Amino acid sequence: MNRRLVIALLLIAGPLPGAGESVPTQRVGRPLEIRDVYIPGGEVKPKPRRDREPPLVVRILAIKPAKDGSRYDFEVQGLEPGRHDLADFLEGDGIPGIPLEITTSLPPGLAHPHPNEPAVLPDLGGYRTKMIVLGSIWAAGLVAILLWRKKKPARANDDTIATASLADRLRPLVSQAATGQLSTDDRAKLERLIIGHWREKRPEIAALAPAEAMIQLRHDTEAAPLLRALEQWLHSRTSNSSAPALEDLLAPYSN
Amino acid sequence: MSTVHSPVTETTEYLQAIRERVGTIVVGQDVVVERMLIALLTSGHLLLEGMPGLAKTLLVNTLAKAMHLNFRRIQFTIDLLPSDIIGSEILDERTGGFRTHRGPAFTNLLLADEINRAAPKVQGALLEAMQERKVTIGNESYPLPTPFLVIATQNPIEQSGTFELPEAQLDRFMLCHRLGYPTAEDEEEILRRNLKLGVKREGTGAVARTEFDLIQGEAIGSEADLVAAMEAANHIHVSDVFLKHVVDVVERTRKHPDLELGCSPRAGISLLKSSRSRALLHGRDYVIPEDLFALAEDVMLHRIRLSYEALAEGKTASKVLREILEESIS
Repeated sequence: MNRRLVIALLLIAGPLPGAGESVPTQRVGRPLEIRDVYIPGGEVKPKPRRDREPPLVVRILAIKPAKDGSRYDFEVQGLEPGRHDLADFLEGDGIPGIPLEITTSLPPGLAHPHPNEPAVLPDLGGYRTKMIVLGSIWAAGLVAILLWRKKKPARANDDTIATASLADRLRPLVSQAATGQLSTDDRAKLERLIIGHWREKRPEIAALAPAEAMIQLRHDTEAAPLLRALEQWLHSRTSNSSAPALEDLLAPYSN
Repeated sequence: MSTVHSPVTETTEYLQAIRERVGTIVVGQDVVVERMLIALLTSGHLLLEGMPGLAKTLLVNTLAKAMHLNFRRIQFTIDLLPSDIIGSEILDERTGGFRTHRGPAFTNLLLADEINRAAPKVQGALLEAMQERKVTIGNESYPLPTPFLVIATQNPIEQSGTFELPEAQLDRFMLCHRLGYPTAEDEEEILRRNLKLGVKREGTGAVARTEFDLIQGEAIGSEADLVAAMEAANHIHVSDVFLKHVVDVVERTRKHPDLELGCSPRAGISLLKSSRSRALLHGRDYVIPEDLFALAEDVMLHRIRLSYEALAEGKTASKVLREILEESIS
């Protein structure tokens, strides 16, 4: 009977003061919530982290007003194993000690990795050198573009550009014509070159529009008789293509 | 000198007389008259580009009168309908049936003034009539009178509210002549003639006379003379060498780097036909390079299109064509 009474009293009274007092514990990197911590005095706040050195990361989740102070809910993340005092990581006056423990399953004495340090690029020169190099590249690009644009029309006209002078192209056609060996294509070329020959000889006429130049050439005292005879030979139904006639006609262009 | 056959001489004289008759009314537009005659002889069509006030209507009217041809003029506007040109079927209340009303296209010389002011479907209707030389009204096709020549005009400056003719339709015009202002001497002569016009009495009233009142006199020649001239133009000799020149110039337009669109084969055909007519007008029975060069701008310029790069460089089609012609004889 007495024994049962003692057990009932013990259950009603609960644990003895100081006997079950435990320190909040959490593993490294895991969040640990510590709630309803009474801190007298003014409001406290976590000390700012200037680097990666502090072993705890502290956040205040909530602040509830209380008599002569406040009650705080903290979330703490431990980065280094061991016992720590949360008060060391808070800013404020008269903060009581708030012990906590961060545990780890790693063996003690683990070597930390070396900190990463930014690599230093080799210095290629100062600002002036860099500007000179960039300027040279830009100028070279500009010259390349200008040269490319200048060459483009020339490439497109390759087949129409005269490689030889007008007289050089005219001479073989004239000698072939004298022997009567000219094809229709060559006769057309011959006529165009002869017109070109007279335009070269009359720069004031060459400056005119081609249509007007043709009319002027057919009225030029020196060119007209020869051009009209040439037209008669090449275009008329009744052309005189005898060798002596052709020789006379083409004589001015043989030299 | 060229050997001139008698038929050519007679035809040339007939055509020369027409040019002179037109010259008595219109001053300083002899080249345009030549182009009109070329178009008429070859059954081509002519597009005239020029500022207003250059006597285009007077010119066509005078030519029609001189050649005893019917002449009609249509002022193209935005609200013009195809039926306003080709005609339509209208309900005859007396008979209760439809009868055909023939439009102004049924004429010999049709002046389509400011063709680019009409909507594309109207332009299309006219250009189709030009090509096929017949029109369809309702379910019936009607042939157009012969000869049938369209002389269209467009103003090169004022482009707002216009519909530019696309290349395919421009190609249907055998010639596109750019009318310039008259020379100082010609302008002086125009003013002198205008001073002498005076006043025309009509009943009890009077009205100032215009150049149109001067279009009088008998027509030169007859329809048979015109037909003979057309046949003579068709018999003008074209040498193989001339053909090579035409092919060379046309090919150069297709290869030129500044041109996006070169000349079509129709341009070559037009060059040949128009050169023949020009030779006839100048009393020759064969064509020569001068004909080709004289007509190249009118035949080819409206058929070529500059590339974007050439436009950006400030080039013009006229300059490029000149380059092409100069390259061909250098």
